[in-house]
Amino acid sequence: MGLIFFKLLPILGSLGISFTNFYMLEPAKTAFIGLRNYVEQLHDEAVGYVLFETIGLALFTVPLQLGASIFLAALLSSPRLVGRTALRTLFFLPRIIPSVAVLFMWLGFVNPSSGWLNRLILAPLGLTGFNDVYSEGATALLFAFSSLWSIGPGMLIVLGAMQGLPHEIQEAARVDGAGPMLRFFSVTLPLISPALFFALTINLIAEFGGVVLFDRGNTFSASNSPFDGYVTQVMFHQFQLGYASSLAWTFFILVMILTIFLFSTSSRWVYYPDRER
Amino acid sequence: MQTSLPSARKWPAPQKFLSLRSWEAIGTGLFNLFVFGLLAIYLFPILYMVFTAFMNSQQLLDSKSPLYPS
Repeated sequence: MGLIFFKLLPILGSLGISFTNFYMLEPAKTAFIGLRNYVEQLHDEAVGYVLFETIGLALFTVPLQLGASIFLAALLSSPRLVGRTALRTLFFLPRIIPSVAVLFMWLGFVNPSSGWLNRLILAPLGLTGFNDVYSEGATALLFAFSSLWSIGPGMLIVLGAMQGLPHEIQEAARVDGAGPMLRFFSVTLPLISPALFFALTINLIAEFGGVVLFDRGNTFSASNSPFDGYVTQVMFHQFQLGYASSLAWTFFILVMILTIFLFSTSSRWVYYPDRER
Repeated sequence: MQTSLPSARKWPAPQKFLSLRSWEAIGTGLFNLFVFGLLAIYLFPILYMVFTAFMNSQQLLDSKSPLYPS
């Protein structure tokens, strides 16, 4: 019931609103305008810009997140590591910090005058820090680190898959003369490819702003997606609910196409033992 | 025509200098050191968050103030 009333109905409602000129300050003047909001997006330069920025960000952060998840999972699955359970929790810890707190913490951390990045790390190395926390360099660093801070679920999925691998296969590869690197790249990674595929999918969807349409904006979610931010701006600053709804639905369809494409390619690189004949 | 394979570089076996147990203990120690160092870097901004939580706003904006709450 909760799903229907608090998720499904608002989502379907936003689809209906996307075909109207709903202006939140003058709701009485709302009228059905058909596909005009969707046509308007084609002429909106900001849409092209934020879409380009979102895709660029995803191309940078998603492989970074996936690589970091695999790397950390490989480290944490080593039997030589002391306090594995505690370490697993600590590496997951940043994921549970609210994104607003993370945002302000990072802005403070890279602050040119009082931030620790300059005072503790860059200045002792003789490097100059960022002069402006809102500069492109500082923002890129912020995005890179904050995306690394959200790898917790992906890391746990990969770690679980690694720990579920049968030891016999690793032993057989070792007996055949495979070294640690060869075993990792040619045995472990192909065997955990279903988990990698799942981690890739959730990272990709999260980076694009999540599947949730209207109940959050980038300030309040874990998303850094510029498109998500643009929808928030149109809705909460310009009060154009009809246009914001159409933007959200366009974005949802784009993410859905991307996800379907990812699933269609999975048969080429994901190993499913039950499909083997 | 017979071609000769390039001879592999022969590293001295570690067992010549150390016992296998010591060699493995050093490896495990270095590995743990690396992971804990990585954790320290990864969670470093959280330390900043904890410290700044105890600072007043005047100290936060002062670049010459100490890094700890004072």
